Amino acid sequence: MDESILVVDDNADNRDLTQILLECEGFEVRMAENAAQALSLLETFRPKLILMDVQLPEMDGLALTRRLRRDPSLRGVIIVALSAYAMEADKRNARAAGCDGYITKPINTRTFVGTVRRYMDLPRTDESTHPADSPLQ
Amino acid sequence: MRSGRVVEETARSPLRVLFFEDCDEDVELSLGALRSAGFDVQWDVAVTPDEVIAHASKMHYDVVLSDYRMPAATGMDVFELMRSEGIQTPFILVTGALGDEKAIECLKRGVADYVLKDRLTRLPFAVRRARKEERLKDERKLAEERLRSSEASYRSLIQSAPCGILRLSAEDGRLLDANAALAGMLGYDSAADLIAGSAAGGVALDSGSLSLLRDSGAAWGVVECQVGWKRKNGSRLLVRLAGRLLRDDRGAPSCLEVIAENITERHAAERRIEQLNRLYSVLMHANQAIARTHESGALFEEICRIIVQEGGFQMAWVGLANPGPGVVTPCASWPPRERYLDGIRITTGLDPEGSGPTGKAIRQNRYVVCNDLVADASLAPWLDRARQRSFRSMAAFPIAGPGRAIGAISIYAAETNFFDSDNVSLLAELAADVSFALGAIEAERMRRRVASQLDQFFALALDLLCISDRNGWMQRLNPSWEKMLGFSAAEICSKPWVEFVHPEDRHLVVEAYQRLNSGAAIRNLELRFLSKDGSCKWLVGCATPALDQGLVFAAMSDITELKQLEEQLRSQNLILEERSRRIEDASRLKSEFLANMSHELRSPLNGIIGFSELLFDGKLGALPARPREYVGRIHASASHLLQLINGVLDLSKVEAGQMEFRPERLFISDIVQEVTDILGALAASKQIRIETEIEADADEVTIDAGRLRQVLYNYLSNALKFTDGKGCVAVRAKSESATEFRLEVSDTGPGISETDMAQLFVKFHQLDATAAKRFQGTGLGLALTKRIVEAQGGRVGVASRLGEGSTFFAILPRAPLTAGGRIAKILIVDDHYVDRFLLTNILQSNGYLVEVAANGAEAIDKCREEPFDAVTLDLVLPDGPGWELLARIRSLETQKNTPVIVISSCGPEDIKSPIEVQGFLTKPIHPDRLLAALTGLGVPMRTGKTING
Repeated sequence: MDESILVVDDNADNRDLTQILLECEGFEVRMAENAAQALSLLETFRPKLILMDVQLPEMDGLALTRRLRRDPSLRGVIIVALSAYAMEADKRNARAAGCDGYITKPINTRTFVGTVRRYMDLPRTDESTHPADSPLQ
Repeated sequence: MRSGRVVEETARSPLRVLFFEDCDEDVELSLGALRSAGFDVQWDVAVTPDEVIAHASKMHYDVVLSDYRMPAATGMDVFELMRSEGIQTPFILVTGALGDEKAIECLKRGVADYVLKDRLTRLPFAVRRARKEERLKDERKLAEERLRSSEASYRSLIQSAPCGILRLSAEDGRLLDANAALAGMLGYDSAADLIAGSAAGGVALDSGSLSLLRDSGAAWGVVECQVGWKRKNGSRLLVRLAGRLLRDDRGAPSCLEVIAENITERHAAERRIEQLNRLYSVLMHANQAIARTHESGALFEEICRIIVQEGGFQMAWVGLANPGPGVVTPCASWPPRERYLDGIRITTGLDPEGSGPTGKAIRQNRYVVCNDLVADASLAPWLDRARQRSFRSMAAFPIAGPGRAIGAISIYAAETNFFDSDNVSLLAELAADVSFALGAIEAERMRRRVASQLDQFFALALDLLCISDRNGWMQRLNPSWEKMLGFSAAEICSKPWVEFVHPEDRHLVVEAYQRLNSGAAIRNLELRFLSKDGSCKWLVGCATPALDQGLVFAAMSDITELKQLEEQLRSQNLILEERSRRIEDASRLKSEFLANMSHELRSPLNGIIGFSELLFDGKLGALPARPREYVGRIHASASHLLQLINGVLDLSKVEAGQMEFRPERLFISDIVQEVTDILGALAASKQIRIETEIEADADEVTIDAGRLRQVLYNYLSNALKFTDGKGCVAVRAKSESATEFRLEVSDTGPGISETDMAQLFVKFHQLDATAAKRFQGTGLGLALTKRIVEAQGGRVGVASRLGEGSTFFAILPRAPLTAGGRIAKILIVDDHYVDRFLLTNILQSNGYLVEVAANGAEAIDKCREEPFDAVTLDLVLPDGPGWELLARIRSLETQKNTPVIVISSCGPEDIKSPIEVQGFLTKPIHPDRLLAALTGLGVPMRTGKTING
């Protein structure tokens, strides 16, 4: 449970790549192709970190993030945006939506897991729900 | 009457008779004859002469009747005796025959009558006649006595009379008699002395006076004449004579009686009074002339005429002289063109020609008198002229100019000694009046000249100038008004000028006049006028009241063209804004496109790179050598593609002005360390030594760390790429100026030819196509570097020579220039039309967007609408001080940090700024200073940052 990660990504290749990298490092990884699947999974699965692709069909990753941030039961879950959008504005928007971090695609497989782990190791209190309180701000 | 009385007396008084007769009969006979004739006779008889004398001495007898021959003496003896005794009793001889001869002798000797004794009847007649004669004789005697006594008193009167009285021969005017007063008048001791002396002709009358007196008849005072007499001592005196002619018994002129009055002094006094009167008249007329003459030449001419005609002088002229010794030039005279002045030479120097009264008067600035031209040696140069014209005396009076005499009035009289102190002081007064008048004429001339100069300007002025009364009726206007309005001056003056103003602006004029009439001035009032052709003219003007004159002075400028230009500028501004908006839209679309494209390209790359990396790294199990090599190639190609995508993205962002910079304080040495660490492996693999050299004072800067890293990375990686093995690459940071630092990378590579240098920093351009293969690169590095540096207000460059390596450098600000992004928009607040126009022009032509506000209210409205990058502020605004406006602007949330530049006509030292401002400029506005001020405040015309920064 401590090492569980939810990956939300509509691209199967990317999902697989992410999954392979994380599971090689011993993380428990669950996958969701879209927001609906993610929400459904989260009813029973409480990951420590969610890797959230921004570009999703129907509800996009940022909308989903905002929604999750409104859910008190998911307090304390770390959400890191994972996106091919590389603009500064995209990063800002992601933070504004409630993401704790941002990783640009294409990922560097040699550093990716380390980055994820650093996000996961961030001290985070359950009370801090507002993204403004994020230490990454 | 007398006889009557005699008869009466005869009848009344007795006739007393003394007889000298020795014969009684004869006595009786005589008595009888007398009685018979009616006489009442009383008689005495004497027979001797003594008895006769005794009787006659005792009493008065009317007649003595004497016989001729008596014993003691003859009747004539007795007669003689009586007469010698002073007894004048009529004596009648009553005698016998006497003989005619004797009788006539007796009569001749004074006997009244003789009567023959035989003809006694004649006796009464004789007695009566004698008695009558005696009576007449008594009366005459009485009268003579009376006359004698009255003559004596007259004589005494005459002798003591205070006026001279004299009697002259009617024939030749010789002095016959004179009284003491006359003698005294003429300086003689006595009348006799005078009469004796008159032989010398002292009191002689000229023939004219004599005949005047002679013809005058007997009445006094009818004829008077004045004659000049000489005193005993030779001096002359003027005498007024009144005389009458006396005639003798036969009616022939006998003598002239004349009263002489010494009028010498009175005459002198009268002459004096007359002279003074004439001089007063001169002064009076001169003052009238001064009052009505406004030109100095005419005044001089008139003054000369007045001096001569009113003052009775021979000649007067005015000469002028330059300062210092010089020639006196006659400029006016009376009589006009007086020949005395022909070719005359008078100077103000010390030469003989400067020693006359005129020259001296000018030189010494005081009047100079010469009362006898002949006697005065200083007049020698002009004496002949003066003699020809009978000038005997003269005086010259200086005409005073500022601080000295500029000329003199010279006046000539026909007599010597004319110029006494009284005359001279009056004439000096005249000269002073003329001097004063000249000063006044000069002042008037200057005033007129100045006025005419001002009139010229008034007429020439392009501005519209006018003077109106306090009710807005024009009193005077310059031609610009007619040109502008198309109406004639008369038409413009025919009604209050507000009626030429656009109806919507008329209330402004009414308000302006209320302020003007309370003493306030009006500035920068903008009004629309309607011209005759119906066109609308914009005028801006100032006005100031002159309350004491009840006038308002106004000056206006036609700003119609400026207004049109402003309108153009405004629409241009709108176009610019629209363009700016469109550019923003376009760049937004472009950035959206780029973001999407980048996303779409990067997403598949994620898989390609990620999986190839996984495979290559053998994380999923080791691959055989050849497949592993190919996977490595896939990975390298995909990575290159990603690099390209990233480069294009960055380049697009920076070109769209959308690259964001986050300046922070950092040490260049840290950045250099990081980059050399990254590239250290590459350098090591090529055996290239990297040297770093950081100047201490260029180390610490405020700049975007990532972008600086990017720049350095590009330069350094290029240098490493193009440097062959065992070379050396140097990284240096040094101070370029107070505000800039220089970052440079030198290599020992092949160098770059001059022609190739121009191709550097161009997108997708590698100098050698084959090099691209040899040296892996995107061809975007230098182009991107250039744009990143320039977007931060810096510049890049390269110095190289073939075979000698290259030095690439970037010069960057030590601190960022701006906090904004996009086209900077400036608000101009200025009530002055031209300044507003000028500022707008400067800023727009340098790429700024501009908003203008003519007053505080407009400014605040504009500030509420949108934030500005900077505000220029005029401190004097029509609706309140600029400081108040500034406080209000600052109170707006959106403007509280907007830089404000005060643009004022006063220097900053004159103004105590109550609110902090970011800049201070003094009018006139210098474009470079304004632009420098804006750049210095971090508001360059165009920044390299995104709009939402």
